[in-house]
Amino acid sequence: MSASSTPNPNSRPDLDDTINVTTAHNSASMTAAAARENRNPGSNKEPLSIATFAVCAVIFIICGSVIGNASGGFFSYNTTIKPEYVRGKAPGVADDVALPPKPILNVYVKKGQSLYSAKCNGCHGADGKGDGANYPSLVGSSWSTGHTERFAQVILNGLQGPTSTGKVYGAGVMPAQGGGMSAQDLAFIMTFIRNSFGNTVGDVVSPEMAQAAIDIAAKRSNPAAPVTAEELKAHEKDLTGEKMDPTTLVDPITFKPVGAKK
Amino acid sequence: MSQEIKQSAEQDAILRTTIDRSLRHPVMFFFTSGAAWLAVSLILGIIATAKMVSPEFMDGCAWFTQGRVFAAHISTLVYGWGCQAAFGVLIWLIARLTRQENRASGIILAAGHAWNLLIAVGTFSILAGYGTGVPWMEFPTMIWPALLLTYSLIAIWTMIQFRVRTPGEVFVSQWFAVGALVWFPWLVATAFVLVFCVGGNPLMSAGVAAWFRSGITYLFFLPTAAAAAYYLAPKISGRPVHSYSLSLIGFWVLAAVGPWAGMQKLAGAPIPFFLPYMGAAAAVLIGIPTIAIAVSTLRTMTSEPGKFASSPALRFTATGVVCMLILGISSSLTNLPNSTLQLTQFSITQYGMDILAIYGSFSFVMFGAMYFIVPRITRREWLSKRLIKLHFLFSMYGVIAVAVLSVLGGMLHGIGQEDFKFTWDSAVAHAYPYQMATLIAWCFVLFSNFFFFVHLLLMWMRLGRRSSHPTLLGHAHIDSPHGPDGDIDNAGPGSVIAH
Amino acid sequence: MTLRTFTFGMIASFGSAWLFAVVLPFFKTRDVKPVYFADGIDEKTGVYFPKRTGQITNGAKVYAQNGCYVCHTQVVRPTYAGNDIHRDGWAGFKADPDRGDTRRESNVFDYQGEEFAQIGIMRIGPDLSNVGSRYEKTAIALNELNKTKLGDAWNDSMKTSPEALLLEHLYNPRNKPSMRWSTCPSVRFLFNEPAREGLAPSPKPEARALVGYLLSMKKNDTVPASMNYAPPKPAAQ
Repeated sequence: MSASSTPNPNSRPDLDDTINVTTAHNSASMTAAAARENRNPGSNKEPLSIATFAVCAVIFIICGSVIGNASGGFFSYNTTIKPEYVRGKAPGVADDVALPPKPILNVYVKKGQSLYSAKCNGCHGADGKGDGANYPSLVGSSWSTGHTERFAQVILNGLQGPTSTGKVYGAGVMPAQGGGMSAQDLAFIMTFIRNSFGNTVGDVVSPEMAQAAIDIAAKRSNPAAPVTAEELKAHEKDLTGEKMDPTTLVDPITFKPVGAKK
Repeated sequence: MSQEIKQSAEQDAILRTTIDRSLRHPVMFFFTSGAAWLAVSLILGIIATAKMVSPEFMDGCAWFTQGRVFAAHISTLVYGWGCQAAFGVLIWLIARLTRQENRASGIILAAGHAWNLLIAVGTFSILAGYGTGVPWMEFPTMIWPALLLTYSLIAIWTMIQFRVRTPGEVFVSQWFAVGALVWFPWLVATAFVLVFCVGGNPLMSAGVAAWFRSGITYLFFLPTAAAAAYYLAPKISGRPVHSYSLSLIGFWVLAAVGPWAGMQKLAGAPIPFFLPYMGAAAAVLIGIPTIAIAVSTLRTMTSEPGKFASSPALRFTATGVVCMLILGISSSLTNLPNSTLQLTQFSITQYGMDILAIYGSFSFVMFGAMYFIVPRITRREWLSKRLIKLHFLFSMYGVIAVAVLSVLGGMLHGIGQEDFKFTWDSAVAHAYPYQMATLIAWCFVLFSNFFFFVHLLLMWMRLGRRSSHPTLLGHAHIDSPHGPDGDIDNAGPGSVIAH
Repeated sequence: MTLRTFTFGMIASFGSAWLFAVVLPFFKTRDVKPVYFADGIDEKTGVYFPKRTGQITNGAKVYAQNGCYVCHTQVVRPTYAGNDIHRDGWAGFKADPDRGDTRRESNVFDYQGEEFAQIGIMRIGPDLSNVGSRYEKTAIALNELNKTKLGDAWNDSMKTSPEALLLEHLYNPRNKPSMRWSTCPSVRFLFNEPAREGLAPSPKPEARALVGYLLSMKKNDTVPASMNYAPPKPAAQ
C-alpha cells in the first residue's frame, strides 16, 4: 500500500543487475527485519548548542572549585591529611569538657599507684611490706614517712647498706629509680607511698619539690653511686617548695587547681 | 573524506542478515542467561532490602545473612546480568559496524558458558561464606583470572574485527564500544593484581577497589549504553546523529575524566589526600559526557516523533539515556566535598547511584538494544506489545523510585548521620522510609521483568511471530489497512518503513 | 578520528590516571614509615606503633565473609570531611577519666595488620573504629551499676565483660529494649546451640575471632604531636 515516488528496488529486483534474484528471494539470506532497516546515516555537523555549552561550563566551574581543595598537595603521596589541618570545633557544643575536679591528694595517690605498681611492686610488694629478708617494708618507715628530702634521695639514687631500721636487707643494694623519672612522676610516687599501706602522712609532694630533689641528686659528688645511711644524715629536711593544701580541688587530667577550695 | 560504501539496499540487507545469523547463538545465549541472572539478582536484591527494613526476615540463616545477600545481589547484577548483556550487545554492534560476520561464534558461545559457570560458582561461594570482602569483587580469588581469560576469548574476535574493518570513518558507536572492551580488562586486571596478588597496602587496596567500582560503572557500562544508543537512535529514526562535535566531546571527556573518579568514596580516610578530591572533581565532570550523550541521542530520536512513539527499542533507549542524564547531574551534585559529599558518602545515595547507573541507565538501553536485536537473530517478531508495555512501565516506575528516593533520600540520611547530637537510631530512622521505598521499587522491577523473561524465553524457543512487520507500541487507527494493532503487512517485505 | 589518534588518546587518558592515581600511590604508600614521639614535646618516647591485640586476621576474615562492611564503616574523618569526631564515642572519649580528651582522626597505622582496610560502603550501622573502647566502657559502667544496686549480694562472678556484651549483640542485636531499632542481622549461625535448657549459646571459633577483632578496635590512643590535630589549648589562667 505504500505509494512512494521512487521505485523500490526490493519490489523489482530483476532490474538491479548486481542482485542474484534467487539468492535475494531466499529468505535465509535476508530477513524482513534486515531489509527494512535504514542504513546508518552517520552524524550531522550541527554545532554545539548554547544551552548545552552553558550547562557544561557551569559543571566545569563547579569542578574547579572542587579541585581547589587539593591545592598544595597534588601528587604528594605522603600527605594523608590536608596540610595545615586543625580539628574544627563542634558547632553549637561547648568544646572543653572538664572532668569533675578531685582533691589533689586523691589525684596524686591514684597516679602514684599505677607508677608504684610498675616500678616498686616487684620488690617492695603490692602491700608495701616487702618480704622481711630481702626487701624492706615501707609501712611506717621513718624514712618513707619522715623528711621528704631524705626520702627523695633514696628513691632517686638507690640505697647501699642498712635501712632506717639499721638492718641490711638482701644484698644490701637498692637500685636507683631516678633514671628517666620526671619530677611529676616522683611527686606522684612519694605522695602515694606516704599516704598508702597505712601510712597517713597526709601531705602532698609537689612537682616543684620533686624537681628540687632531682637537682640535689644531680649535684652530689658521686651521682652514680647509691646513697648510704651516713650520707642521708645530711638530708634530714623537707624539700623546698610551696606546701599544697591536700584538699585543693584540681582537674584530674591537668592537675591544675580549679575553683574555690572546699 | 570518508569512503562511501557502494552497495545497494539489497546487498546491505543480505550482509546484515549474514552477520546476524553468524552471531545468533552467542548473542541469544548472553541475552537469555543475562536475563536469568537479572532475575536472580532482583530476588536477592528484594531479600537484601527487605532485611534492611525488617531485619527479622530470614534472620539467623547463614546463607541469607544480610551481608552475604547484598554482596551476591550486586555481584550477580554486575557480572551475571550487566556483563553478559553488554557482551551480547557489544559483539553484535561491532560486527554490524565493521560490516563483517563473526566466525568465532562457537568459541564465544563456549566462553559464555564458562562465564556463567564462574558466576554461579562465585555466587554460591559468597552465599556460603567464602566471599573476599572486597566490595564488587567478592567472588573468591581464583575466579578473577578465569573471568579475565573468558573475557579475552569473547572480546578478542571483536577486536580483530575492528582491526580489519573497511577503512573509512569510524562511527561514534565504535569508539564507545571499543573503549568499553579495552577499559574493562584493564580495570579488572589492575584491581585483581594490586588487591589480591600484590597486596600489602590495606588502605590503597580499599582505594583501588573504590576506583574499580567507579571504573566499571563509568568506563564499561556507560560506554556500552552510549554505543548502543548512538547506533539505535540514527538507525531507527532514520536521521543522522545530532552534532558530531558533541559526540566527540562526550567520548573524550569520558575517556579523560572517567579513570580519575572513584576515590571520593574514601574521602577522609588516611590515603594521599589529593586523591579523593581528584575523584570528586572527576565525579562532578562526569556530568559533561552524560549530557553530551543524552543531548545528541535524544535530539536524534525525537527528530522523528512518529518513530519515537512507536518503536519499543527507541522508547527504552530514550529512557535509558534520560536516566544517564539524571545520573550525570546527580553525580555532579552529590559529590561536592565541602557540602554534599559528607552527606552522601556513606548513605544510601551510593546504592541509589549504583542502581541508577546499572539499572536505570545501562539496563534500559540494553533492553532497547535487545528489543531491536532479538527479532533479527531469531527471525521472529515480539509476540505482544502489551508485554513490552508492561515491562517498560513497571521498570520505569521502579527505577524512578529507586533513583529519586535513594539518591535524594540518601541526602536526608546523611543529614541524620552528621547530626551528632542525636543518637544513632535517629540516623537510621532518617533512612528507613527510603529503604522501604527502594524495596517496593524493586518489587515493581521484578514484576516488570517477569514479563520480559517470559517474552524473551518465548522468542528463544522460536515461538515469536512470523511476520515481516515489527511489533510496535502505539495505536494505529481502527480503520487502518494495517489492522487496529498496526501489525498487518499488506504490501510484502521491504515495503514497510524501517523500525 | 584515525585509529592512531584513538589509540594514543585512550592510552594517554586511562594510562595517566592509572599511573598517577592508582599504581604510584599504591606502591609509594606501601611501606609505612614509622613516626617517632618527639622528645620534649610528647610525654611518651619511642616509636608510635599501636598494637592491636586479638585475632585480627581470623576476625577480619569473618567480618569480610559476612559482609559487615556493607552497613558499617571503620573510618573517623577529619572535620573538613565530616562530623565523625564530634559523635559520642566514635573517635574516642571527650572526658576519659585517665586521659581526658582521647578523640582523634583515623591514621595510617590504624589499618596495619589487615590485608584490606574495611573502610566500608554505607553507614546503616555506626562506625566501628572505637567499638572496642565503647564496649569496654559499657562493661565497666554496667559492673559499677550492678555493684551499687546489689550491694552485699554482689560478687565477682557476676561481672560482665566486653566480650560477653558483644557476643550478646552478635547473637541477637535486638535483645536489649534500647536496641530494638537496630537492623543488624543476627549471626547466630556462628554460635552453637546451648548444651542444655537455660544455658547461653556458646560461640564457635568464628564468633570468638570476630569478637576479638572488633574489641581490638580502640583507635583512640595517644599520637605523637606531629599527628595531633587538636586545636591548641587556650593559655591556662
